[in-house]
Amino acid sequence: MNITHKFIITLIVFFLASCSSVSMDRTNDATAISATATGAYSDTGITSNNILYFAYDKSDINSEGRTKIRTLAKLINDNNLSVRVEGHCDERGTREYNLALGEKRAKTVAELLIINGVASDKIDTVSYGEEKPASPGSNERSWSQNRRALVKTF
Amino acid sequence: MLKKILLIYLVLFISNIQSQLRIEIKGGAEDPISIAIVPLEWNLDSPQDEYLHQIIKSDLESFGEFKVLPPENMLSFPSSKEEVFFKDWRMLGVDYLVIGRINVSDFSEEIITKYTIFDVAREKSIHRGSVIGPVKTLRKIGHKVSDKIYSRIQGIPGIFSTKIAYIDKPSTDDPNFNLRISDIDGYDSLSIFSSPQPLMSPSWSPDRQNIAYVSFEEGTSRIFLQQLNSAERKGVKLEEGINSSPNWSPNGDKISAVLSKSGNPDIFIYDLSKDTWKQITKHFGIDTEPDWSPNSKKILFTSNRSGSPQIYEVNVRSNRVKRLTFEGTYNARGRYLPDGKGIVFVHRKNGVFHIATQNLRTGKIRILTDTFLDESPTVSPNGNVVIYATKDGDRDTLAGITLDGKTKFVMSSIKGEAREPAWSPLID
Amino acid sequence: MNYFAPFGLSLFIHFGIVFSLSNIFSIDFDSFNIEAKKPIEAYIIFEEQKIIPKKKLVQTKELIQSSVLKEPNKIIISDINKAIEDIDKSRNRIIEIKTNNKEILKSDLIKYSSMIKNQVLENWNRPSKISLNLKTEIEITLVPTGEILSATLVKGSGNDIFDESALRAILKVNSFEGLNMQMNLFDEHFRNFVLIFSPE
Repeated sequence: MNITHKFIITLIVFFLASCSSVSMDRTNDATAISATATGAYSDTGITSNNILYFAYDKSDINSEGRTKIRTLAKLINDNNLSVRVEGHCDERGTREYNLALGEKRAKTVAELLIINGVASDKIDTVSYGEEKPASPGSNERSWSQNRRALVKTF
Repeated sequence: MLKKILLIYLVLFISNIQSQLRIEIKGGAEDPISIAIVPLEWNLDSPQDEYLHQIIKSDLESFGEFKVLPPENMLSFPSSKEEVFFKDWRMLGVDYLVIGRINVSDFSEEIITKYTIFDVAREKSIHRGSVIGPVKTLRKIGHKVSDKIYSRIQGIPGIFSTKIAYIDKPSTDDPNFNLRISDIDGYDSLSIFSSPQPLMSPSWSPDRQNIAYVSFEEGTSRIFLQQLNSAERKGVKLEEGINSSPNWSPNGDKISAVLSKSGNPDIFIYDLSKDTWKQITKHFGIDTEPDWSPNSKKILFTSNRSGSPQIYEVNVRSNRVKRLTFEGTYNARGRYLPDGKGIVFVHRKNGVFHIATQNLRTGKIRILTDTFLDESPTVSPNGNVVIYATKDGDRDTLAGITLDGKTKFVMSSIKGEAREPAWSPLID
Repeated sequence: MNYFAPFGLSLFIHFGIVFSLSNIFSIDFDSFNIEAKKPIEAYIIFEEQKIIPKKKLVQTKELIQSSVLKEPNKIIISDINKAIEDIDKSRNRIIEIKTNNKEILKSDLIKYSSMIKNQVLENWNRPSKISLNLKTEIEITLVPTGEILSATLVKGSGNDIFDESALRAILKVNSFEGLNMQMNLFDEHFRNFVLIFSPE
């Protein structure tokens, strides 16, 4: 059996171009370097009067929201405040798409503020998408808290 | 004339009379490949902290494609061809054998690792390689050897020397968001940028020297480019509204991204040398999540122009848009497979977000994952594996699956809560 | 020169090319087809001569037949094709091919081919990462006990890794078991044959 096997081996003919290859490689210990940002922007205090909530995947405001916005608009104009509207989403769906949805929410609120008499150059909008949730859980209770727009005044 | 034609027929016909029996062997198994990595001979004075054969074993077994023989089952420990008795290895059921030696190189502080891969059935060497490098890069050396073993046997490149970039969110240990890079096996995790404000969407440059990402450090979303070797950061020309979703072009001279300066999010291309933005899609809906095709001719993107998020393709030159996904009401965050023949994306079915693939020729969808809230798929540069972000209860984790659906894994070596994985390109 | 002759000839050439080219495909095991090693003997041809497929071609065909019959060593294309078509139709019947005055049973041919196929498949672990449209052909030489004398790559798939997996499968088999067949069957078909490896 052994002899026959060797017989087989010696008679096997291959036409493969490159059965055996050779390589030479090199490694180095280059590594990435770290950088840090300082917090140039921080969150100011917010009350429930400044928060508007949304349905899943939607950016329209309900009647309760409209009332809130009317009140806010008056407050802003009476005190000659500047406004920053932040749009947020719950974690479902992709992050960048949620960044766009958050912007829609912020813009909807901004438009309503303008309709209610706030000068457009006093309003700034920003979207955080799903990146800054108010509540960390993965359930409807948390999610409903996160689908919001914040009206920050200063 | 007729006889000439007959002669032609004759030639044709004789060549078609096959005197030999031909038997078709159709099928074949796709079992894990049985391989033995003999502990390499260590010829250094210093003690050995890491064992190359263990690194290689761990690499090769990562995706269920190899079954590595444990050293305790070995009958001998050859380190040169003369010491190999193929019959022994055949008896152990091993198809491939790797042996090697590690010696001090002529340059100080460097070691040279020489290895040979044998095909046991054919009793011949199929590859001889050597890796030179500083002794402290032993893990890297191990990964390079794994890459060579993998590519020689599987016929596609190995990805064991690649890296994964990801974002981890604030925790009790660290109040900052971090952009991290780690080896694909989870080792050597390094934070390359740290910030109290959110970070998003890391994207590697094709030469692996830079990463583009979104940072909210200035109070709004802005794209930054960071050079890995120097940590030099540069903010890309800021426009009003959203500045996000950067995606480096295959030749490294442009970045596709999303700007909403025109009133709604659209796809734009940023020219790195000219510092200019060029609008590519123009639609009142949401256009986002661009991904360059491997041949640079098209950009994949997500749009809700038909009512809900679907995946589209835009021709970079003509700006012509073509819809790709038609199944389901939520298809987003598409990424091309390296061969350009398919895409991987987030697909919602029955309210659950999965990772799915679609063949671009046939349009056929295949749902890959059975986990929940799956997002941010990233494909290995050899097209073999997808890593994606998912949830383990309330925790953000990274998980993976081979594109044939056979092997699933969780990246448990990553500490903290990770999201938005981005697989680096291959080097060399 | 009438108009029908060149037209008919052209039709005949085209049919002939189609029929002869259709023989290039390898034998599918499931629709087993024996391709003759030696020319089919004259008496079969005479039987088939009765069937004249197309009326239009009668004239030219008869012309060709008569001219070829003068040279008995040459083969008549159209009739061979017809004969092979008949063999196709009777794939489930046992056909006896008269060569060397001994009978080779088709059922034995199938039985031993099947054994070889299964033994090779048991040992073939093919690389899973490469394209599915590959085909490798390897010519095998055996000794009557079933031991493999040689394995030669005759047609590569274009992918070395796939070719290697096929060769390794054969090497692992080393020696086929259970090939106890008649000597004439062995000599005729199993001393030297081709294995065609494909994933699907």
